[in-house]
Amino acid sequence: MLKISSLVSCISQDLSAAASFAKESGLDGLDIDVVWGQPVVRIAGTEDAKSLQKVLKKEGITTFCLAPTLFENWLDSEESVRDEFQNLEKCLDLAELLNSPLMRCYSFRRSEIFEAYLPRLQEHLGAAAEICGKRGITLGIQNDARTFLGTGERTAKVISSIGNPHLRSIWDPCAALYDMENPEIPYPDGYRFLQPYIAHVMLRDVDRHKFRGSLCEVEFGEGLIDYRKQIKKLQSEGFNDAVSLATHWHPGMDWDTSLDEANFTEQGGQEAIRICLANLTNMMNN
Amino acid sequence: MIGKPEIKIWIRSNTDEVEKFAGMELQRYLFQILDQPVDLVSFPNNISNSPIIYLSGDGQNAPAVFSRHKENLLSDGYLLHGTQNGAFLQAQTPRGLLYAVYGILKYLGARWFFPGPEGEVIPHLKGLELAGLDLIDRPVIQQRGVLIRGTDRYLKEWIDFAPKIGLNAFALETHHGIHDLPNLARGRGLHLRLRRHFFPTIFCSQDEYNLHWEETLVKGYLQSLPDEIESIHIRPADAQGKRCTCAVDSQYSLTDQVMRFTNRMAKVARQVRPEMEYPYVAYQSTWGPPPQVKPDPGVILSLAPIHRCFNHAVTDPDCPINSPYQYNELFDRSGYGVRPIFEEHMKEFDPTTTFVVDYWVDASYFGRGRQKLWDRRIPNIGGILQRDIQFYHSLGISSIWTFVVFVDDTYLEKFTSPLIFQYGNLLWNPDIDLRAGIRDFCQQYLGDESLAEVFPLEEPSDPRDITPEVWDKHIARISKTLSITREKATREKNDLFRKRILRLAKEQEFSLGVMQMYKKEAGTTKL
Repeated sequence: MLKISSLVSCISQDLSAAASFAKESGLDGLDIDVVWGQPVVRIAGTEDAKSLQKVLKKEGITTFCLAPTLFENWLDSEESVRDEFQNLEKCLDLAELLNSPLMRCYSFRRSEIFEAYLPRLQEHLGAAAEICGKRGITLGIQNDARTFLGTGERTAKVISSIGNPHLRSIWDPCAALYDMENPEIPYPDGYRFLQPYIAHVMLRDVDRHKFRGSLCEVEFGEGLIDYRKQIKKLQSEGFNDAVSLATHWHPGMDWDTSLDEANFTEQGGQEAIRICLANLTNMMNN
Repeated sequence: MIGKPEIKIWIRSNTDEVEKFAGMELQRYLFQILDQPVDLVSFPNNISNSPIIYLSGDGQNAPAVFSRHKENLLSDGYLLHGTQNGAFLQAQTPRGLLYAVYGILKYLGARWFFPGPEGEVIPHLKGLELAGLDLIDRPVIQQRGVLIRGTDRYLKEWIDFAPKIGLNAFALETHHGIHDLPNLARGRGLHLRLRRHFFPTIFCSQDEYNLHWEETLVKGYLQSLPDEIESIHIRPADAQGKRCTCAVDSQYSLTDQVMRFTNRMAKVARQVRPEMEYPYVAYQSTWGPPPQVKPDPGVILSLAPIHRCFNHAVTDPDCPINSPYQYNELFDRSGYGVRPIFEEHMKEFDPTTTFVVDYWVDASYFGRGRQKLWDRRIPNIGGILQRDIQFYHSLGISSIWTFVVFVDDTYLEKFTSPLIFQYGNLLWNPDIDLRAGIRDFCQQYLGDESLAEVFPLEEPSDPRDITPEVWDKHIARISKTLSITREKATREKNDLFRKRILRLAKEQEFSLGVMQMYKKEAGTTKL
């Protein structure tokens, strides 16, 4: 059975408020990315980490995924890569503290000629998975069009080539759509490749902007991704892990007003998650 | 209710959902009209002497088969035949049968003027008198549609209302709500469509990288849509197109560039939906016909004359916006008129597959730009609508649509717009007597036929080509009719009618104010 989570930053910067909201709205747990205005990588190893754990414990919230933005920098700089591995170690401590079975990473900032960077990418991701595996935590690569692995197909190829069972995928169908260099229909095409490796799914949706034609975030289930079939497929294949609402859409966003005018508000974020959750539940039940 | 015989409605036992819905609609409304039990049955032999209305969807299984009328029942047509003890309703298609149901209800005095409960007039009768009823009717325009947004307040009400005024097609103009549409429209027999903005505004034929991405998006998008959506028109963003000036494309006009892009995307679309019609959309900067690039087979035309003038019919030779045949630099958006471009396009495209998407009943149109002062009020332009439809029909165009955005409860609380029902009536029969329709409306909805004089068939709304003298003429007309309306309101005893007449008076006061403001600015709005 699918478990439903949400990125905490989509709900509130105040962890207690986010935890209460998660309980009230029937979420099964949370993904921890940004708390009290701080990305988790900065919280890891500080006193705030214990406070974070205390709040989650008190509220009885399960952490499905610790979601730092690891491995988002350029692969060319050795110093930057070294820093990323240090951050990985710090985040692993935090993941253990929060009992998170999964930690998010990316696949380094994209440069031209993927093939030239592939060996180094495999080497670093493999090493990171090795480190995570030793501590019983799975490393999930989230596909992102700004990084080397934007699509389901390419992500699947790299994960499979590394062959470490502790290295899996955090599938972001929306991100695949943004990858103009390697166009892919996220579902069914991208999913078909990635399916054996998926440990977690990020749910957000995009549509073409009426006046610009560019992609912009919309209510989950009301955009270009075929989520109805994607969710049904996950259910029918017995996917047992979590799907996470990660929308940056807000109910105030309207085609007749500029989307840029809609600023984040906590109330708007929570209302958005409520609507997206209702849409998701609807898809799961129908 | 006690003592009255139960009325039976016979429908086939294994029938489709539209025919079943037709039966249920008849049952529901007859119960309201007659206040007596109405039962749906499938076994006529057990019926004894009860009044019975037979619904026959295919002309095969019903007790009455009027084969001599078969050719008249094509294309949503229907036949009504009353007897001493009931009636026969017959059509070739389930949708035709639904129109037959609304037809017989209208014969009994029911009316649907506007979407929603406020627009419905249901009479109360003592008995079912159908003897002497003999009517065959069928629509002139084949595809009769409205477009709305999935987020509109009156989406469901419009779906319910559409077949009641004879419409048979329904489209969303945004993606939002498209997955819910088939369920919402179930039983109504409507052709469901999506017509939306999708692409950007620049189309470089040399940018393979981008073109391939667009193809992938189109393919994925079409795959994701419900099968019940019969056709999908995706088109460039709602903004001025930008002409690509790369070495290859610079020899082509913007319309040529868009046509080339359209041909390419049509191929991809047909890989997903082989039967899909794919349109070149003539709208704003793509209004004119492409001079060099021709449409591939299967690429159809969709015309949306948003720059047109609603003070005049498209065919009006005196209209400086709609009628010029020459390029006119004053027309900053399209550079062309309306009628000549229709005729020009018809040389290239098949009119029978062409869509016209106009804005007659679009409250959002009359509430923006130069017409903002109207605050979304749709003008009384039944006469213009009639001539426009007659013109489109004369070209052989058989698919006519209007936007109906924002025509919802908040609109109907403020404005009384006969154009809403006239639209459906005129698509069914472009030659109807509009004045008679207005008189019937005034009698049924406002309780006084003589109020018909309050509703003009043509009134100006667009300030671009109206002189102070024309505004004066209409200001004088409204001043006169306003006093008539006020007087009728004072004398009206029925609360509901009085409320509606007072609302009408308020609308007239509003129109008077707007026209006076436009008169002051006359001549300052660019054509």
